[in-house]
Amino acid sequence: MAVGQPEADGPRLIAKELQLSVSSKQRTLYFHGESMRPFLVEGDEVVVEPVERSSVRPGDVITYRHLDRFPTRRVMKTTEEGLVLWCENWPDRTFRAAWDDILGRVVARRRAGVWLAASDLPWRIARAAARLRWELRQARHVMLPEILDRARRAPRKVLRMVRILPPPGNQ
Amino acid sequence: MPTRYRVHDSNVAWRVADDEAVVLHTDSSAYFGLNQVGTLLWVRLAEHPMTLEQVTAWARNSFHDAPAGLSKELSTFIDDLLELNLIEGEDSTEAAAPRPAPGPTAPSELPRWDPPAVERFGELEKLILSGE
Repeated sequence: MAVGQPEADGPRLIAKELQLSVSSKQRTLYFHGESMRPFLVEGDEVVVEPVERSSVRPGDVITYRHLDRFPTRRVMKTTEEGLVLWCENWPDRTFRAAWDDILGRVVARRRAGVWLAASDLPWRIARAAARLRWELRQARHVMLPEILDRARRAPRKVLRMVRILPPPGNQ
Repeated sequence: MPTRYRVHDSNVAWRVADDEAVVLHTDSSAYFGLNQVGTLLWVRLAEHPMTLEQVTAWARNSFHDAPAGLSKELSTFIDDLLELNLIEGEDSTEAAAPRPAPGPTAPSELPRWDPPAVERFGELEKLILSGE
């Protein structure tokens, strides 16, 4: 049971996880919220299937347990401890989930009566586009500042090498 | 003709937590809890369809504190599970090959005898996956 969960809610939470594990095109689950827009929007019906740790890939949309809720987000990285997750519509935030909390992978979506499966081209395009956006953001927010910082320090390093500036300890 | 009982695999999903099973009826979204003895019995029915006689023999051999009215208590439990559509009965001659009932469970794994019971906890609403 999750930390802080009332004892009486234990069976209910287990039943919800069981419900999640048996979702299918006949027994869909509902998505709620704006965080995964435009890929998933409020009221979309989704099918979640149990997934093996070894088959989780960046770009997959994963459902996991967090207290009594089931956040559903896109995998951006797999690590020894779990997953780094991201939402298309909340690009500034990343989330982490432990492997033990992963409940399943979203494999199909129905919106306005139309099914879209993970093997369909629009799904694969959305997956690739999300990964590209993530990589670009990582480059801009993580790698670029590092490169600029190195570039800023480089001239001082050169001047020290030719002994125009004193070594850092003598400043 | 003896009837053999099995867990209704296409209708239920279940999990044991803290020695007690939570069983979800997937069509109705109703969920149930089994007490410890009920859970032991359920697990055995899930592994191995059994007749009421086999269930009774297993319980009598396993629980040294089982009461004289054991058979009636088990019969009531089986009837409750059938009524809730959590298990199904099949003519034992339909089974491909008759199999013996499982042997007694090791005493260290057993709780004290309590009449096996199933309790309806409630019904789940449509499950919502939250992006937030």
